[in-house]
Amino acid sequence: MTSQILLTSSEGTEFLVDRDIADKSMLLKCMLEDIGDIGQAVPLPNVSGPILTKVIEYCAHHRNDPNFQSANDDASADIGEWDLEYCKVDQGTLYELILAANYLDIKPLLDLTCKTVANMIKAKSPDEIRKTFNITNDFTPDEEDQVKRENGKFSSGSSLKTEKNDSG
Amino acid sequence: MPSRPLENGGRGLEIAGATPLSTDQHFKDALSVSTNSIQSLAESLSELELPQVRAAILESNDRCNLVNPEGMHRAKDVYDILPPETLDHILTCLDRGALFNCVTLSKQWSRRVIPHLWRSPWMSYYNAWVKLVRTLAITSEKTHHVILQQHPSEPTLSERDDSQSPCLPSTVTGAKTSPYSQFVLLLDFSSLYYIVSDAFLSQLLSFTPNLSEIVVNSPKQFSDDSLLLLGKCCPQLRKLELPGCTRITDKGFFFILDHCSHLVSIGLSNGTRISDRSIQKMAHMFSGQLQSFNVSNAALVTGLDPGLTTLAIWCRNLVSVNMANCQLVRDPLLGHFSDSLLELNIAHCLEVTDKGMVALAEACPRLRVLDMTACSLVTDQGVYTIGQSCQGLRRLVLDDRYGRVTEEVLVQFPSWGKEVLQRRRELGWKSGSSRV
Repeated sequence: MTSQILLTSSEGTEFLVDRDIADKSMLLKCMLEDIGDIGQAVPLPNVSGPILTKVIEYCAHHRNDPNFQSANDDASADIGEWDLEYCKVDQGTLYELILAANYLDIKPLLDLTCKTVANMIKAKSPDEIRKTFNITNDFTPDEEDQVKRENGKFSSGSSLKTEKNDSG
Repeated sequence: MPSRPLENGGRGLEIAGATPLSTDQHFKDALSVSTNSIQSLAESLSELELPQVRAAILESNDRCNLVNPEGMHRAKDVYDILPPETLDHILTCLDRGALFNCVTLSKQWSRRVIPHLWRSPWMSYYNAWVKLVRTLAITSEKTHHVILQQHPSEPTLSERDDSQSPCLPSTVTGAKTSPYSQFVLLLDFSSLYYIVSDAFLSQLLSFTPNLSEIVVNSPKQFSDDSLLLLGKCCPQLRKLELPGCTRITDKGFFFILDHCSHLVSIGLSNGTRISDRSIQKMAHMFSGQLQSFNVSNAALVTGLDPGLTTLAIWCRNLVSVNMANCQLVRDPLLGHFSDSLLELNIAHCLEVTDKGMVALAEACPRLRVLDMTACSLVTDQGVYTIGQSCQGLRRLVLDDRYGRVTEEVLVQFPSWGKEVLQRRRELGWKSGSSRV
């Protein structure tokens, strides 16, 4: 018999969640440990209803996952299939999920969403990245050349993490 | 991209900016259609409905991050949506190639990407390093750099916030610093032995004032001169690993100890000429903060006092110690370590007996890893005591070519991952029963 917690989104929508799902959020976990079950709703003014729904969906899916907190330390580890599907949302939602995971302190969700954004950057040229993320290029061509010269092509572009294992 | 009629209480305008648009023209089209529908909508609503819908539209606008419908209408750069620590999180998932593609996106992106790109330069070709040093030299000549002037509204960029400023004052060596140099935190030359020499380092280290970690393995040439340089140029050093640097002596190391007050992890293994004098000085100066120490195969280091005994007694926060193949490591030394010790390597310390194991078991019950390769005087009794006391032990390394440890005691501790070297089987070594 797990106890349940009432969460209120920014618009005032109420969500009843099991305690063990809410505990995936370190913020909620600590908060609830401190104040106990007083039956009142916990307001989450920084998280909208649709996003909170998605977050709860993630935590509920992983509620019995034994590797939950210690997972995702390896930045190059593959993302699981359910997680991949979960992240197939529009960019706006993805950013809101990052913000929510950051605010609620759910590290695995933060890792997952950040990795997803990182995957959107990989294998793209700077122009493509700018288009994807609505970035305005405020460099003049000269400045851009200078930055390129100073920062790159010392190496042949092998991976930051695995380069050290290169017997060279 | 036409707008839909309002189906869900004023949310129809979300579509205008919710997905990134690839050209301005599409955006303008969508916007003009939306603007028209706003007008026709407003005309059709009653007095009561209008404020509610207006509020919903405004909120919808905010969520689409439109500045205003008439003027500049770019959707927001993700840089402005996410907080800086999450951007850093994303950047740490990228390899060097992807980071390089991000460094020219825009000026604010540059400022955020550059610390990641420069944190740990690594190239396998000597010429690439030469280019790196040249870049650092050239950029240090400039008084104004196009992107690296700190933007007043931005928080400081690097991990070590307390010591950062975009243009550092001249270091103690008198050289100007490049704006990039503050970001170089880690130099790992462990597989680049052919590159490292005193001459090379004398050029590079003057540009790495915030260096926190350096690894140099069996270099072409590395003497006390480089240690002097390191001490002068890199006072923030926390980790110093110099395996195989056979020409370094107490003199150079003393200088490091005097100038690098933040050291936490030191490795001087494989033929360095560091002696007990250095151990003693180090133990006294870094007693509270030293966590990791590797002095395996250092011929001049002994287990006596001064020496490793001083280390064990003085440094109460040691987590990992490697003294494989050190001279005169005897049983009493093992009892002097503090209970913070989690990893110990006493391979080839031939004088260690069961008494030492008992002392160790009592002193360090939290031990997780123990390497006692070729400690041939240790018997089942000693291993058993360790096993009973150190409940967290997960790795025991044995090479029983000459040893007396039998399978009988090993099977009693199934949680140990045992690494018994192949030779044991090759020599046809039989299980303990035949030795009784």
